[in-house]
Amino acid sequence: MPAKYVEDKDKMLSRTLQLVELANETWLVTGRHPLPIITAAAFLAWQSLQPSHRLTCSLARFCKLANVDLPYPAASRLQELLAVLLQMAEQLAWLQILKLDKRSVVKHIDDLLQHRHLLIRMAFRDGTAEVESQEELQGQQQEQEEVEDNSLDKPKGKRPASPALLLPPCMLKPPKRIHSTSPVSTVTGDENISDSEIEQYLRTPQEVRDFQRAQAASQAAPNPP
Amino acid sequence: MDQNNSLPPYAQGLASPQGAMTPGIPIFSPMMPYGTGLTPQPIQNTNSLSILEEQQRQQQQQQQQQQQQQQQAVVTAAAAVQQSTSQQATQGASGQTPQLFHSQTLTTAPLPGTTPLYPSPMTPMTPITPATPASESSGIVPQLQNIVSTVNLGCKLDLKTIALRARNAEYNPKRFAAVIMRIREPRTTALIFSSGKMVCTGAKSEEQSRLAARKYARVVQKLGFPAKFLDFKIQNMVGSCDVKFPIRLEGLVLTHQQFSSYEPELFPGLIYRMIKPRIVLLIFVSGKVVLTGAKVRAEIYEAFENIYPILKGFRKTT
Repeated sequence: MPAKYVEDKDKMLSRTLQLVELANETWLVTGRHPLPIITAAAFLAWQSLQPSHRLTCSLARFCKLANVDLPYPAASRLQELLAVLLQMAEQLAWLQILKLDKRSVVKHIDDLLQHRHLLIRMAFRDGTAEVESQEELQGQQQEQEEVEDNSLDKPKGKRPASPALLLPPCMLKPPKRIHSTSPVSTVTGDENISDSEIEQYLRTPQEVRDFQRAQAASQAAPNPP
Repeated sequence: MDQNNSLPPYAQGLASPQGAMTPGIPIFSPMMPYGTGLTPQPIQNTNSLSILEEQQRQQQQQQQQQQQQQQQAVVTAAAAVQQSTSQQATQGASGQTPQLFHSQTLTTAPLPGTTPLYPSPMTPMTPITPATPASESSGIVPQLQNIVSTVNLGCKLDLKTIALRARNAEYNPKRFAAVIMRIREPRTTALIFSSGKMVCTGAKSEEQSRLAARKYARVVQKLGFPAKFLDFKIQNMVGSCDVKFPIRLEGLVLTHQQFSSYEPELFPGLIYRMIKPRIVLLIFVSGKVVLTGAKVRAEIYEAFENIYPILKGFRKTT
Protein backbone atom coordinates (compact mmCIF):
# COMPACT_ATOMS: atom_id res chain seq x y z
CA MET A 1 0.00 0.00 0.00
CA PRO A 2 1.56 3.30 -1.05
CA ALA A 3 2.20 5.60 1.89
CA LYS A 4 -0.01 8.35 0.57
CA TYR A 5 -3.00 6.05 0.56
CA VAL A 6 -3.14 5.57 4.27
CA GLU A 7 -5.86 7.62 5.88
CA ASP A 8 -7.03 8.53 9.33
CA LYS A 9 -10.15 6.62 10.27
CA ASP A 10 -12.05 9.46 11.97
CA LYS A 11 -11.58 11.84 9.10
CA MET A 12 -12.70 9.18 6.66
CA LEU A 13 -15.72 8.37 8.76
CA SER A 14 -16.94 11.92 9.18
CA ARG A 15 -16.47 12.82 5.54
CA THR A 16 -18.10 9.63 4.32
CA LEU A 17 -21.06 10.35 6.58
CA GLN A 18 -21.38 13.84 5.21
CA LEU A 19 -21.35 12.54 1.67
CA VAL A 20 -23.98 9.91 2.45
CA GLU A 21 -26.16 12.58 4.02
CA LEU A 22 -25.71 14.66 0.91
CA ALA A 23 -26.74 11.73 -1.25
CA ASN A 24 -29.78 11.20 0.94
CA GLU A 25 -30.89 14.81 0.63
CA THR A 26 -30.56 14.74 -3.14
CA TRP A 27 -32.70 11.64 -3.67
CA LEU A 28 -29.83 9.29 -4.47
CA VAL A 29 -30.53 6.90 -1.60
CA THR A 30 -34.27 6.21 -1.58
CA GLY A 31 -35.11 2.88 -3.16
CA ARG A 32 -31.50 1.86 -3.72
CA HIS A 33 -29.26 -0.74 -2.12
CA PRO A 34 -27.43 1.08 0.68
CA LEU A 35 -24.03 -0.58 0.41
CA PRO A 36 -22.98 0.69 -3.03
CA ILE A 37 -23.80 4.23 -1.92
CA ILE A 38 -21.54 3.84 1.07
CA THR A 39 -18.79 2.42 -1.12
CA ALA A 40 -19.00 5.36 -3.50
CA ALA A 41 -19.13 7.87 -0.66
CA ALA A 42 -16.15 6.29 1.08
CA PHE A 43 -14.14 6.37 -2.13
CA LEU A 44 -14.94 10.02 -2.74
CA ALA A 45 -14.18 10.90 0.85
CA TRP A 46 -10.85 9.13 0.68
CA GLN A 47 -9.93 10.75 -2.61
CA SER A 48 -10.88 14.22 -1.47
CA LEU A 49 -8.67 14.01 1.64
CA GLN A 50 -5.55 13.94 -0.55
CA PRO A 51 -6.67 14.51 -4.11
CA SER A 52 -3.25 15.21 -5.59
CA HIS A 53 -2.00 11.71 -4.86
CA ARG A 54 -5.21 9.78 -5.04
CA LEU A 55 -6.98 10.96 -8.15
CA THR A 56 -5.17 8.34 -10.19
CA CYS A 57 -6.62 5.53 -8.13
CA SER A 58 -9.79 3.99 -9.53
CA LEU A 59 -12.80 2.80 -7.58
CA ALA A 60 -11.98 -0.82 -8.36
CA ARG A 61 -8.40 -0.47 -7.12
CA PHE A 62 -9.60 1.32 -4.00
CA CYS A 63 -11.90 -1.59 -3.15
CA LYS A 64 -9.17 -4.13 -3.78
CA LEU A 65 -6.75 -2.27 -1.55
CA ALA A 66 -9.38 -2.05 1.12
CA ASN A 67 -10.07 -5.76 0.75
CA VAL A 68 -13.72 -5.09 0.02
CA ASP A 69 -15.94 -6.32 -2.80
CA LEU A 70 -16.85 -3.76 -5.41
CA PRO A 71 -20.63 -3.77 -5.69
CA TYR A 72 -21.86 -3.32 -9.22
CA PRO A 73 -24.03 -0.20 -8.68
CA ALA A 74 -21.25 1.67 -6.88
CA ALA A 75 -19.85 3.10 -10.12
CA SER A 76 -23.19 4.54 -11.07
CA ARG A 77 -23.74 5.95 -7.56
CA LEU A 78 -20.32 7.57 -7.81
CA GLN A 79 -21.25 9.30 -11.05
CA GLU A 80 -24.53 10.52 -9.59
CA LEU A 81 -22.80 11.89 -6.52
CA LEU A 82 -20.21 13.67 -8.66
CA ALA A 83 -22.97 15.19 -10.76
CA VAL A 84 -24.64 16.56 -7.63
CA LEU A 85 -21.34 17.98 -6.41
CA LEU A 86 -20.75 19.62 -9.77
CA GLN A 87 -24.15 21.25 -9.66
CA MET A 88 -23.42 22.55 -6.18
CA ALA A 89 -20.06 23.86 -7.35
CA GLU A 90 -21.84 25.95 -9.97
CA GLN A 91 -23.24 28.05 -7.14
CA LEU A 92 -19.84 29.13 -5.83
CA ALA A 93 -18.45 31.99 -7.83
CA TRP A 94 -14.81 31.06 -7.39
CA LEU A 95 -15.51 27.53 -8.54
CA GLN A 96 -17.67 28.57 -11.45
CA ILE A 97 -14.69 30.22 -13.05
CA LEU A 98 -12.64 27.05 -12.79
CA LYS A 99 -15.03 25.13 -15.00
CA LEU A 100 -14.78 21.94 -13.02
CA ASP A 101 -15.34 18.47 -14.33
CA LYS A 102 -15.91 15.29 -12.39
CA ARG A 103 -12.23 14.79 -11.70
CA SER A 104 -11.31 18.30 -10.69
CA VAL A 105 -14.32 18.77 -8.45
CA VAL A 106 -12.84 16.20 -6.05
CA LYS A 107 -10.28 18.75 -4.96
CA HIS A 108 -13.05 21.01 -3.73
CA ILE A 109 -15.26 18.49 -2.01
CA ASP A 110 -14.07 19.83 1.33
CA ASP A 111 -15.49 23.28 0.64
CA LEU A 112 -18.63 21.93 -0.93
CA LEU A 113 -19.39 19.75 2.05
CA GLN A 114 -18.84 22.61 4.45
CA HIS A 115 -21.56 24.62 2.77
CA ARG A 116 -23.64 21.77 1.53
CA HIS A 117 -26.99 22.77 3.03
CA LEU A 118 -26.86 26.22 1.54
CA LEU A 119 -25.56 25.01 -1.78
CA ILE A 120 -28.29 22.42 -2.17
CA ARG A 121 -30.95 25.02 -1.63
CA MET A 122 -29.29 27.28 -4.13
CA ALA A 123 -28.48 24.68 -6.70
CA PHE A 124 -31.77 22.89 -6.95
CA ARG A 125 -35.37 23.81 -7.38
CA ASP A 126 -37.84 21.92 -5.31
CA GLY A 127 -38.57 19.03 -7.61
CA THR A 128 -41.82 18.03 -5.97
CA ALA A 129 -43.59 21.34 -6.37
CA GLU A 130 -41.92 21.93 -9.68
CA VAL A 131 -43.14 18.76 -11.32
CA GLU A 132 -46.72 19.81 -10.67
CA SER A 133 -46.46 23.34 -11.92
CA GLN A 134 -44.37 22.47 -14.93
CA GLU A 135 -47.35 21.25 -16.85
CA GLU A 136 -49.37 24.36 -16.24
CA LEU A 137 -46.87 27.17 -16.57
CA GLN A 138 -44.51 28.00 -19.32
CA GLY A 139 -41.35 30.01 -19.75
CA GLN A 140 -41.26 33.26 -17.84
CA GLN A 141 -44.15 32.43 -15.60
CA GLN A 142 -42.27 29.38 -14.49
CA GLU A 143 -39.20 31.38 -13.65
CA GLN A 144 -41.28 33.73 -11.53
CA GLU A 145 -42.78 30.84 -9.63
CA GLU A 146 -39.33 29.48 -8.90
CA VAL A 147 -38.20 32.70 -7.35
CA GLU A 148 -41.30 32.80 -5.18
CA ASP A 149 -40.96 29.20 -4.13
CA ASN A 150 -37.36 29.36 -3.07
CA SER A 151 -36.45 31.02 0.14
CA LEU A 152 -33.41 32.70 -1.34
CA ASP A 153 -33.40 35.24 -4.06
CA LYS A 154 -31.09 34.08 -6.76
CA PRO A 155 -29.49 36.57 -9.09
CA LYS A 156 -30.48 35.30 -12.48
CA GLY A 157 -27.91 37.18 -14.44
CA LYS A 158 -24.74 35.28 -13.81
CA ARG A 159 -25.91 31.74 -13.49
CA PRO A 160 -25.89 29.94 -16.76
CA ALA A 161 -29.17 28.07 -16.59
CA SER A 162 -32.16 27.78 -14.30
CA PRO A 163 -31.44 25.49 -11.36
CA ALA A 164 -31.77 21.80 -11.87
CA LEU A 165 -34.72 19.88 -10.49
CA LEU A 166 -34.14 18.05 -7.24
CA LEU A 167 -35.64 14.72 -8.17
CA PRO A 168 -34.65 11.09 -7.92
CA PRO A 169 -32.65 10.02 -11.00
CA CYS A 170 -35.45 7.74 -12.17
CA MET A 171 -37.66 10.79 -12.62
CA LEU A 172 -35.00 12.82 -14.39
CA LYS A 173 -34.40 10.34 -17.16
CA PRO A 174 -36.76 10.58 -20.11
CA PRO A 175 -39.50 7.95 -19.94
CA LYS A 176 -38.62 4.79 -21.83
CA ARG A 177 -41.94 4.60 -23.58
CA ILE A 178 -44.88 6.87 -23.83
CA HIS A 179 -47.40 6.06 -21.15
CA SER A 180 -50.46 6.21 -23.30
CA THR A 181 -53.71 5.72 -21.47
CA SER A 182 -55.30 2.52 -22.65
CA PRO A 183 -58.32 3.06 -24.87
CA VAL A 184 -61.60 2.84 -23.05
CA SER A 185 -62.99 -0.59 -23.71
CA THR A 186 -66.66 -1.01 -24.50
CA VAL A 187 -66.72 -4.70 -23.82
CA THR A 188 -69.77 -5.85 -21.88
CA GLY A 189 -68.68 -9.43 -21.31
CA ASP A 190 -71.87 -10.78 -22.83
CA GLU A 191 -71.04 -10.39 -26.47
CA ASN A 192 -71.85 -13.12 -28.84
CA ILE A 193 -68.83 -15.26 -29.64
CA SER A 194 -68.77 -16.29 -33.25
CA ASP A 195 -67.92 -19.83 -34.23
CA SER A 196 -65.29 -18.71 -36.65
CA GLU A 197 -63.45 -16.88 -33.91
CA ILE A 198 -63.28 -20.02 -31.81
CA GLU A 199 -62.37 -22.22 -34.72
CA GLN A 200 -59.22 -20.24 -35.35
CA TYR A 201 -57.93 -21.75 -32.13
CA LEU A 202 -58.65 -25.34 -33.10
CA ARG A 203 -56.40 -27.55 -35.17
CA THR A 204 -57.76 -29.02 -38.35
CA PRO A 205 -57.88 -32.83 -38.45
CA GLN A 206 -54.98 -32.76 -40.88
CA GLU A 207 -52.92 -30.68 -38.48
CA VAL A 208 -53.76 -33.06 -35.66
CA ARG A 209 -52.57 -36.01 -37.71
CA ASP A 210 -49.38 -34.23 -38.69
CA PHE A 211 -48.71 -33.24 -35.13
CA GLN A 212 -49.27 -36.76 -33.85
CA ARG A 213 -47.00 -38.15 -36.50
CA ALA A 214 -44.29 -35.67 -35.62
CA GLN A 215 -44.60 -36.42 -31.96
CA ALA A 216 -44.39 -40.17 -32.56
CA ALA A 217 -41.36 -39.70 -34.77
CA SER A 218 -39.50 -37.59 -32.24
CA GLN A 219 -40.24 -40.05 -29.47
CA ALA A 220 -39.40 -43.13 -31.49
CA ALA A 221 -36.00 -41.89 -32.61
CA PRO A 222 -33.42 -42.28 -29.87
CA ASN A 223 -32.49 -38.91 -28.50
CA PRO A 224 -28.87 -37.93 -29.03
CA PRO A 225 -26.91 -38.13 -25.78
CA MET B 1 -82.09 -15.90 1.11
CA ASP B 2 -79.56 -13.57 2.53
CA GLN B 3 -76.80 -13.54 0.06
CA ASN B 4 -75.05 -10.67 1.66
CA ASN B 5 -72.32 -10.66 4.23
CA SER B 6 -73.20 -11.17 7.82
CA LEU B 7 -72.81 -7.49 8.60
CA PRO B 8 -76.08 -5.68 9.05
CA PRO B 9 -76.84 -3.32 6.19
CA TYR B 10 -76.23 -0.10 8.10
CA ALA B 11 -72.74 -1.26 8.99
CA GLN B 12 -71.75 -1.31 5.38
CA GLY B 13 -70.80 2.28 5.61
CA LEU B 14 -68.51 4.16 3.34
CA ALA B 15 -64.83 3.86 3.89
CA SER B 16 -64.57 6.45 6.60
CA PRO B 17 -61.13 7.76 7.38
CA GLN B 18 -61.53 6.49 10.90
CA GLY B 19 -59.63 3.41 9.94
CA ALA B 20 -62.07 0.88 11.24
CA MET B 21 -60.44 -2.49 10.96
CA THR B 22 -63.17 -4.46 9.32
CA PRO B 23 -62.21 -7.17 6.91
CA GLY B 24 -62.26 -6.04 3.36
CA ILE B 25 -65.73 -6.40 2.04
CA PRO B 26 -67.03 -4.99 -1.14
CA ILE B 27 -68.76 -1.98 0.19
CA PHE B 28 -70.79 -0.98 -2.74
CA SER B 29 -73.00 -3.71 -3.90
CA PRO B 30 -74.93 -2.89 -7.02
CA MET B 31 -78.01 -1.03 -6.05
CA MET B 32 -81.12 -2.27 -7.65
CA PRO B 33 -84.68 -1.41 -6.94
CA TYR B 34 -86.11 -3.62 -4.28
CA GLY B 35 -87.82 -6.67 -5.54
CA THR B 36 -85.33 -7.91 -8.05
CA GLY B 37 -83.36 -10.19 -5.85
CA LEU B 38 -80.64 -12.33 -7.26
CA THR B 39 -82.08 -15.57 -5.99
CA PRO B 40 -81.70 -17.93 -8.89
CA GLN B 41 -84.99 -18.68 -10.47
CA PRO B 42 -85.77 -22.39 -10.54
CA ILE B 43 -87.17 -21.99 -14.02
CA GLN B 44 -83.96 -22.61 -15.85
CA ASN B 45 -82.33 -25.68 -14.52
CA THR B 46 -79.32 -25.75 -16.75
CA ASN B 47 -76.52 -24.12 -14.87
CA SER B 48 -75.20 -22.59 -17.93
CA LEU B 49 -74.10 -19.18 -18.96
CA SER B 50 -77.71 -18.28 -19.39
CA ILE B 51 -78.66 -17.70 -15.77
CA LEU B 52 -75.85 -15.35 -15.04
CA GLU B 53 -76.32 -13.64 -18.34
CA GLU B 54 -80.03 -13.29 -17.71
CA GLN B 55 -79.47 -11.69 -14.36
CA GLN B 56 -76.86 -9.41 -15.79
CA ARG B 57 -79.15 -8.40 -18.59
CA GLN B 58 -81.80 -7.53 -16.03
CA GLN B 59 -79.33 -5.47 -14.10
CA GLN B 60 -78.12 -3.77 -17.21
CA GLN B 61 -81.61 -2.85 -18.27
CA GLN B 62 -82.39 -1.36 -14.93
CA GLN B 63 -79.11 0.43 -14.76
CA GLN B 64 -79.61 1.80 -18.23
CA GLN B 65 -83.01 3.09 -17.22
CA GLN B 66 -81.43 4.86 -14.30
CA GLN B 67 -78.73 6.30 -16.51
CA GLN B 68 -81.31 8.04 -18.60
CA GLN B 69 -82.69 9.97 -15.69
CA GLN B 70 -81.10 13.07 -14.28
CA GLN B 71 -79.28 12.83 -11.00
CA GLN B 72 -81.91 14.96 -9.37
CA ALA B 73 -84.68 12.86 -10.77
CA VAL B 74 -83.14 9.77 -9.34
CA VAL B 75 -82.86 11.35 -5.94
CA THR B 76 -86.48 12.28 -5.80
CA ALA B 77 -88.02 9.39 -7.63
CA ALA B 78 -86.02 6.47 -6.33
CA ALA B 79 -86.42 4.42 -3.22
CA ALA B 80 -84.81 5.35 0.08
CA VAL B 81 -81.93 3.07 -0.76
CA GLN B 82 -81.05 4.90 -3.91
CA GLN B 83 -81.65 8.21 -2.21
CA SER B 84 -78.99 7.59 0.33
CA THR B 85 -76.38 6.58 -2.19
CA SER B 86 -77.09 9.43 -4.56
CA GLN B 87 -76.94 11.89 -1.69
CA GLN B 88 -73.51 10.62 -1.01
CA ALA B 89 -72.71 10.96 -4.66
CA THR B 90 -73.68 14.61 -4.72
CA GLN B 91 -71.85 15.24 -1.50
CA GLY B 92 -68.56 14.42 -3.10
CA ALA B 93 -66.65 17.60 -3.68
CA SER B 94 -65.92 17.02 -7.30
CA GLY B 95 -67.89 15.16 -9.87
CA GLN B 96 -65.95 12.05 -9.16
CA THR B 97 -66.24 10.30 -5.90
CA PRO B 98 -64.51 7.11 -6.66
CA GLN B 99 -65.46 5.95 -3.20
CA LEU B 100 -68.92 5.36 -4.55
CA PHE B 101 -68.01 2.91 -7.09
CA HIS B 102 -71.17 1.66 -8.27
CA SER B 103 -74.05 3.99 -8.41
CA GLN B 104 -75.13 4.56 -11.95
CA THR B 105 -75.72 8.19 -11.14
CA LEU B 106 -71.99 8.54 -11.49
CA THR B 107 -71.85 7.57 -15.13
CA THR B 108 -70.89 11.10 -15.97
CA ALA B 109 -67.70 10.63 -13.99
CA PRO B 110 -64.90 9.72 -16.35
CA LEU B 111 -64.04 6.47 -14.70
CA PRO B 112 -62.95 4.32 -17.58
CA GLY B 113 -64.82 1.14 -18.09
CA THR B 114 -67.48 1.72 -15.50
CA THR B 115 -69.93 -0.66 -17.01
CA PRO B 116 -72.36 -2.99 -15.35
CA LEU B 117 -71.02 -4.82 -12.40
CA TYR B 118 -70.69 -8.32 -11.60
CA PRO B 119 -73.65 -9.85 -9.94
CA SER B 120 -73.03 -9.71 -6.25
CA PRO B 121 -75.49 -10.10 -3.46
CA MET B 122 -77.54 -7.06 -2.70
CA THR B 123 -79.90 -6.26 0.08
CA PRO B 124 -82.33 -3.43 0.49
CA MET B 125 -80.39 -1.01 2.60
CA THR B 126 -81.51 1.53 5.11
CA PRO B 127 -80.02 4.99 4.57
CA ILE B 128 -76.33 4.85 5.31
CA THR B 129 -74.68 7.47 7.48
CA PRO B 130 -72.77 9.60 5.01
CA ALA B 131 -69.06 9.53 5.51
CA THR B 132 -67.07 12.71 5.85
CA PRO B 133 -66.66 13.91 2.29
CA ALA B 134 -63.14 13.80 0.91
CA SER B 135 -61.47 17.16 1.17
CA GLU B 136 -60.62 17.05 -2.49
CA SER B 137 -60.50 14.24 -4.95
CA SER B 138 -57.05 13.54 -6.29
CA GLY B 139 -58.19 13.76 -9.88
CA ILE B 140 -56.07 10.73 -10.68
CA VAL B 141 -57.75 7.48 -11.59
CA PRO B 142 -55.83 4.24 -11.22
CA GLN B 143 -55.78 2.21 -14.41
CA LEU B 144 -56.52 -1.48 -14.15
CA GLN B 145 -53.63 -3.55 -15.46
CA ASN B 146 -54.55 -7.13 -14.69
CA ILE B 147 -57.58 -9.12 -13.63
CA VAL B 148 -57.38 -12.70 -12.40
CA SER B 149 -60.59 -14.69 -12.42
CA THR B 150 -61.66 -18.29 -12.00
CA VAL B 151 -64.50 -20.29 -13.42
CA ASN B 152 -65.64 -23.88 -13.12
CA LEU B 153 -66.29 -25.62 -16.41
CA GLY B 154 -68.18 -28.30 -14.53
CA CYS B 155 -66.74 -31.43 -16.11
CA LYS B 156 -63.54 -33.43 -16.02
CA LEU B 157 -61.18 -32.62 -18.86
CA ASP B 158 -58.62 -34.65 -20.73
CA LEU B 159 -55.68 -32.29 -20.94
CA LYS B 160 -53.80 -34.40 -23.48
CA THR B 161 -56.69 -34.16 -25.91
CA ILE B 162 -57.00 -30.44 -25.40
CA ALA B 163 -53.28 -29.91 -25.96
CA LEU B 164 -53.40 -32.05 -29.05
CA ARG B 165 -56.39 -30.51 -30.72
CA ALA B 166 -56.05 -26.84 -29.79
CA ARG B 167 -53.60 -24.57 -31.57
CA ASN B 168 -53.09 -22.13 -28.76
CA ALA B 169 -52.41 -24.60 -25.98
CA GLU B 170 -49.24 -25.75 -24.28
CA TYR B 171 -49.10 -28.68 -21.91
CA ASN B 172 -46.04 -29.97 -20.13
CA PRO B 173 -47.24 -32.33 -17.41
CA LYS B 174 -43.78 -32.70 -15.93
CA ARG B 175 -43.55 -28.99 -15.35
CA PHE B 176 -47.11 -28.02 -14.50
CA ALA B 177 -50.30 -30.00 -14.29
CA ALA B 178 -52.44 -27.73 -16.44
CA VAL B 179 -52.89 -26.67 -20.03
CA ILE B 180 -51.81 -23.08 -20.71
CA MET B 181 -54.04 -21.59 -23.35
CA ARG B 182 -53.92 -18.11 -24.87
CA ILE B 183 -56.31 -16.09 -26.96
CA ARG B 184 -55.64 -12.89 -28.82
CA GLU B 185 -58.72 -10.89 -28.10
CA PRO B 186 -58.98 -10.00 -25.23
CA ARG B 187 -55.31 -10.78 -24.84
CA THR B 188 -55.33 -13.22 -21.95
CA THR B 189 -53.90 -16.49 -20.71
CA ALA B 190 -55.83 -19.33 -19.12
CA LEU B 191 -54.72 -22.25 -16.98
CA ILE B 192 -57.06 -25.16 -17.52
CA PHE B 193 -56.93 -28.00 -15.02
CA SER B 194 -58.14 -31.54 -15.42
CA SER B 195 -60.73 -31.04 -12.70
CA GLY B 196 -62.51 -28.61 -14.99
CA LYS B 197 -61.48 -25.50 -13.11
CA MET B 198 -59.91 -22.66 -15.02
CA VAL B 199 -57.95 -19.53 -14.14
CA CYS B 200 -58.03 -16.60 -16.56
CA THR B 201 -55.39 -13.87 -16.29
CA GLY B 202 -54.27 -10.79 -18.17
CA ALA B 203 -57.51 -8.96 -18.88
CA LYS B 204 -57.70 -5.22 -18.32
CA SER B 205 -61.29 -5.04 -17.10
CA GLU B 206 -63.88 -7.23 -15.43
CA GLU B 207 -65.96 -7.48 -18.56
CA GLN B 208 -62.98 -8.42 -20.67
CA SER B 209 -62.05 -11.09 -18.16
CA ARG B 210 -65.52 -12.53 -18.34
CA LEU B 211 -65.58 -12.44 -22.11
CA ALA B 212 -62.21 -14.12 -22.29
CA ALA B 213 -63.26 -16.83 -19.85
CA ARG B 214 -66.34 -17.48 -21.96
CA LYS B 215 -64.19 -17.81 -25.06
CA TYR B 216 -61.95 -20.34 -23.39
CA ALA B 217 -65.02 -22.25 -22.27
CA ARG B 218 -66.28 -22.23 -25.85
CA VAL B 219 -62.97 -23.57 -27.11
CA VAL B 220 -63.17 -26.40 -24.61
CA GLN B 221 -66.77 -26.98 -25.61
CA LYS B 222 -65.83 -27.21 -29.26
CA LEU B 223 -63.19 -29.75 -28.39
CA GLY B 224 -66.02 -32.01 -27.34
CA PHE B 225 -66.31 -31.53 -23.59
CA PRO B 226 -69.64 -30.63 -21.96
CA ALA B 227 -68.25 -27.38 -20.58
CA LYS B 228 -70.47 -25.07 -18.57
CA PHE B 229 -69.75 -21.67 -17.06
CA LEU B 230 -70.23 -21.96 -13.33
CA ASP B 231 -69.21 -19.63 -10.50
CA PHE B 232 -67.29 -17.09 -12.49
CA LYS B 233 -65.49 -14.96 -9.92
CA ILE B 234 -62.95 -12.21 -10.05
CA GLN B 235 -60.20 -13.17 -7.64
CA ASN B 236 -57.74 -10.32 -7.95
CA MET B 237 -57.47 -6.94 -9.60
CA VAL B 238 -54.28 -4.94 -10.10
CA GLY B 239 -54.21 -1.24 -10.82
CA SER B 240 -51.50 1.35 -11.20
CA CYS B 241 -51.17 5.10 -11.31
CA ASP B 242 -48.72 7.95 -10.96
CA VAL B 243 -48.96 10.77 -8.47
CA LYS B 244 -46.25 12.63 -10.38
CA PHE B 245 -44.13 13.74 -7.46
CA PRO B 246 -41.24 11.98 -5.68
CA ILE B 247 -41.96 10.34 -2.32
CA ARG B 248 -39.68 10.07 0.70
CA LEU B 249 -40.18 6.39 1.40
CA GLU B 250 -37.96 6.52 4.49
CA GLY B 251 -40.25 9.11 6.00
CA LEU B 252 -43.37 7.20 5.09
CA VAL B 253 -42.14 4.02 6.73
CA LEU B 254 -41.41 5.94 9.92
CA THR B 255 -44.81 7.54 10.24
CA HIS B 256 -46.86 4.58 9.05
CA GLN B 257 -44.75 1.76 10.35
CA GLN B 258 -47.67 -0.42 11.30
CA PHE B 259 -48.75 -0.59 7.67
CA SER B 260 -45.49 -0.14 5.77
CA SER B 261 -42.54 -2.30 4.97
CA TYR B 262 -39.60 -0.67 3.22
CA GLU B 263 -36.42 -2.72 2.71
CA PRO B 264 -34.32 -1.17 -0.04
CA GLU B 265 -31.97 -4.15 0.13
CA LEU B 266 -34.82 -6.39 -0.93
CA PHE B 267 -37.11 -4.27 -3.04
CA PRO B 268 -36.95 -0.63 -4.08
CA GLY B 269 -40.58 0.07 -3.34
CA LEU B 270 -42.44 0.47 -0.10
CA ILE B 271 -45.10 -2.18 0.58
CA TYR B 272 -48.11 -0.59 2.23
CA ARG B 273 -50.75 -2.97 3.54
CA MET B 274 -53.89 -0.96 3.90
CA ILE B 275 -56.44 -2.38 6.31
CA LYS B 276 -59.53 -0.78 4.93
CA PRO B 277 -59.97 -1.66 2.17
CA ARG B 278 -57.68 -4.64 2.35
CA ILE B 279 -55.34 -3.69 -0.46
CA VAL B 280 -51.59 -3.89 -0.83
CA LEU B 281 -49.92 -0.89 -2.40
CA LEU B 282 -46.42 -0.77 -3.82
CA ILE B 283 -45.20 2.78 -3.58
CA PHE B 284 -42.07 3.85 -5.43
CA VAL B 285 -39.83 6.86 -5.08
CA SER B 286 -40.85 8.11 -8.53
CA GLY B 287 -44.43 8.47 -7.37
CA LYS B 288 -45.76 5.46 -9.20
CA VAL B 289 -48.17 3.38 -7.18
CA VAL B 290 -49.32 -0.19 -7.83
CA LEU B 291 -52.45 -1.40 -6.06
CA THR B 292 -53.33 -5.05 -5.82
CA GLY B 293 -55.48 -7.48 -3.92
CA ALA B 294 -58.85 -6.05 -4.83
CA LYS B 295 -61.91 -8.11 -5.56
CA VAL B 296 -63.85 -5.17 -6.96
CA ARG B 297 -62.79 -2.01 -8.75
CA ALA B 298 -64.10 0.21 -5.97
CA GLU B 299 -61.49 -1.10 -3.57
CA ILE B 300 -58.70 0.05 -5.85
CA TYR B 301 -60.17 3.52 -6.21
CA GLU B 302 -60.88 3.77 -2.53
CA ALA B 303 -57.40 2.63 -1.56
CA PHE B 304 -55.85 5.21 -3.83
CA GLU B 305 -58.03 7.99 -2.49
CA ASN B 306 -56.96 6.95 1.01
CA ILE B 307 -53.24 6.92 0.22
CA TYR B 308 -53.12 10.09 -1.84
CA PRO B 309 -53.37 12.56 1.07
CA ILE B 310 -50.76 10.55 2.94
CA LEU B 311 -48.38 10.72 0.01
CA LYS B 312 -49.01 14.41 -0.48
CA GLY B 313 -47.82 14.86 3.08
CA PHE B 314 -44.40 13.62 2.00
CA ARG B 315 -44.08 15.87 -0.97
CA LYS B 316 -42.02 18.68 0.47
CA THR B 317 -38.31 17.92 0.44
CA THR B 318 -36.32 18.79 3.54
